[in-house]
Amino acid sequence: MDVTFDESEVMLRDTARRLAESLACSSVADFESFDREAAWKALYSAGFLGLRVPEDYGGGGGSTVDASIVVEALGRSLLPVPYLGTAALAGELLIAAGASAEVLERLATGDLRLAVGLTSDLSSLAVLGQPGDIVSFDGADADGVLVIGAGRRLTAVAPGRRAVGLDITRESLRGSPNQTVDVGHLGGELSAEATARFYARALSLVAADLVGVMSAALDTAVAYAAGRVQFGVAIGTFQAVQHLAADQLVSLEGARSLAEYAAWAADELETDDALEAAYCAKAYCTKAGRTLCEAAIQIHGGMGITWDCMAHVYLKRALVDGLAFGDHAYNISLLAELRGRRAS
Amino acid sequence: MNFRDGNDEASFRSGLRSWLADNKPEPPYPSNHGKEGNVFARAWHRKMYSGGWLGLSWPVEYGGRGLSPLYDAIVNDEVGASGAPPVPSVGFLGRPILRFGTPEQCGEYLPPMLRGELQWCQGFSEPGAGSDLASLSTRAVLDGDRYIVNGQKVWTSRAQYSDWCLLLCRTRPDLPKHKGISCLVFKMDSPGITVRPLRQVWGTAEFNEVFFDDLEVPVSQRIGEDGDGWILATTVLAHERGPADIGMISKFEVMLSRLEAILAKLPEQERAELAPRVAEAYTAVAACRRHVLKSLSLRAQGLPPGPETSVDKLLMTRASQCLGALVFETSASELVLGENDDALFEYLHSRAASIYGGTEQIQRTIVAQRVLGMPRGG
Ligand SMILES: Cc1cc2nc3c(=O)[nH]c(=O)nc-3n(C[C@H](O)[C@H](O)[C@H](O)COP(=O)(O)OP(=O)(O)OC[C@H]3O[C@@H](n4cnc5c(N)ncnc54)[C@H](O)[C@@H]3O)c2cc1C
Repeated sequence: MDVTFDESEVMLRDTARRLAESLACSSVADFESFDREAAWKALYSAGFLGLRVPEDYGGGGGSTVDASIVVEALGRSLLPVPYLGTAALAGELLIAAGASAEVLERLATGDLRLAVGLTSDLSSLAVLGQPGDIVSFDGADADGVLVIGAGRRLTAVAPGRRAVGLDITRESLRGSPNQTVDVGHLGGELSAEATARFYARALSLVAADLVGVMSAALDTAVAYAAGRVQFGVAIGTFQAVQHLAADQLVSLEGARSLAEYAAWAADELETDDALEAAYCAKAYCTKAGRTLCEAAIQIHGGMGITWDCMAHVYLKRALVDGLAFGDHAYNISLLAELRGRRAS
Repeated sequence: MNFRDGNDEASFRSGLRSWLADNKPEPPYPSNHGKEGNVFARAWHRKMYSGGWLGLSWPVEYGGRGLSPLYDAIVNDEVGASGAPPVPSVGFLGRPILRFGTPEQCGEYLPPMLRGELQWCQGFSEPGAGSDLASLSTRAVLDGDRYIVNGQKVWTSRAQYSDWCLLLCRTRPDLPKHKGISCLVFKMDSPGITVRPLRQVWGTAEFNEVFFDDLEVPVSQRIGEDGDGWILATTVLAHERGPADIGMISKFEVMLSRLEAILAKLPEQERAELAPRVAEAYTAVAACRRHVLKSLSLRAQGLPPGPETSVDKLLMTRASQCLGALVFETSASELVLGENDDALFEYLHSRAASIYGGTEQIQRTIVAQRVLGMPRGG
């Protein structure tokens, strides 16, 4: 047992962080003119797009821990590319369904981009024919949106209207249930076991993005507090500010520990244990993420309420992550239900 | 990253599991307060030690087993899951002896401490020196080959049952306050010591006032050099703040399973209301447990605990108080009628979690300044 990163995980983390930092926007205005295509190519060159695709299909054969390391690094830099949505989550879903080698190869090269369709509250995978909108989270540039169709097989529907909504670093889009698109063979029936595994992985990956966003938001606030002077001293010397920041670090450390464990458990443990870790991580990270990003705004004072200050960008990404695959209350209730079921 | 046991860890775990099944005392257990609780806890300490399950990460020559600190996490997991009494808080007072003591001192003090034969208490806090521990004024004057100690300690847990004391005292009042402190150890039945128990909010007395009137301590019972007291104190506190060192994780697991058992018996409506709160407490315990595992992994790699153990302590405080509040709520009517001493103790003791070992506010300041690197005021 050693729950810290091993050598190759540290290397992956450092590579991903360096790449993300080199591509990152340095101001809020930069998000509008960001060159997504160039960034996507850089992620392809680094081998991140097909990180989880088996090596036989041209992928990296990485673990969910590896994927979460990359997701966290990109979240930390607020990278405005749909990596989480159209590479990581879509990849997990396609692998879970047993999509064809050709589809997975095209995913790994970045040639095919698919988003994951969720119910309108963003909590679960969308099922074709059920009422309500299909919303894909972080689905910019997708060729299709994956939904569960007849016989619990994946189907791709056409992406609908795109929108930069709340989160200015990523796009969400509506799927059009009436128009399917042919993107190749998407695998067979999605079994209950495969679905559960998918959820465990998806939850841990979203939690990883939250951890990345949280750590950067806290760094930004702490740096601001060291420079801003009031009453003749840096505001970071005030105990009220220090304690607010310290509480956020405690939450961040708790969140990180749970997210890492969930990512590991998603590959390594029995389904129920993996789900228990995933619900726990997602619930905790969602609550901690929102609280931390709100505190970061507070530490910036009036500056934190301006569009040009990065603080709101962190908060908005954290809020949208918080909704993806269920909010805090939703995951807490799943956790309670699972614990209850397992005890009896 | 690997949360799975290696071969040795796995066989240790299964050995412990079957040992617990055979050796776990019959409930009910007295809560760890008051005389009866102390006798019970000591017996459990000796039993676990003789089974080979305590003092794991201590050197073999001093009665330990020379294993990685991660074994402490396994013990916490398994003891917690079995519902046995909590893991005794072994030897956080021994850590500074191991680090600063001479081989003779280690050989004399550590083995009986680990075995649970001799009980130790921590003489740090004073009436005038709580959070500002470095301002302590208990005075030790060198007189030939002995110190003469005068002064008072307070909140000294289990001093009335202890055989030995690890004391912080001022030997050099002429030096700046952090530099003039030294550490002495002595037997609690030495002449010149008066122990006065203080009744606590849950009714029994666990901590005490301790008075020293011309207590004589041989220089050979000083740990470290004269003036090493402050750095030595931080070694104690860093370990005291690591929840695995003081057995808290096993306690949390037991509290959690008790709450889940209460939950299962509630009528539908009430269960639906309470279940999310118990699940929330579960996440707080899980965050503490997983973070502690990370801290222990780092320690296993050879890094001594530093200011970041305050993060563990704060996660522990959150978990403790989240559970404590639920214990209160689920037994409120019994508490009103005075029918559930254990619940009373658990709730009120959770309120002390943000005070003992350095208050929550002090931990936050440590985290802000020494982990986040925020600037100190003028
Ligand atoms: C159950 C229990 C067992 C204990 N066992 C032992 C023991 O065995 N041995 C031992 O030596 N001690 C022991 N203690 C003492 C414990 O370490 C002290 O109570 C603690 O360090 C706080 O000191 P104090 O009680 O003097 O509070 P104070 O320091 O007076 O603090 C009072 C309040 O002021 C706040 N405060 C103080 N300074 C600051 C600051 N700089 N910034 C912000 N807020 C501040 C505190 O956070 C607290 O809320 C025990 C305490 C308890 C509750």
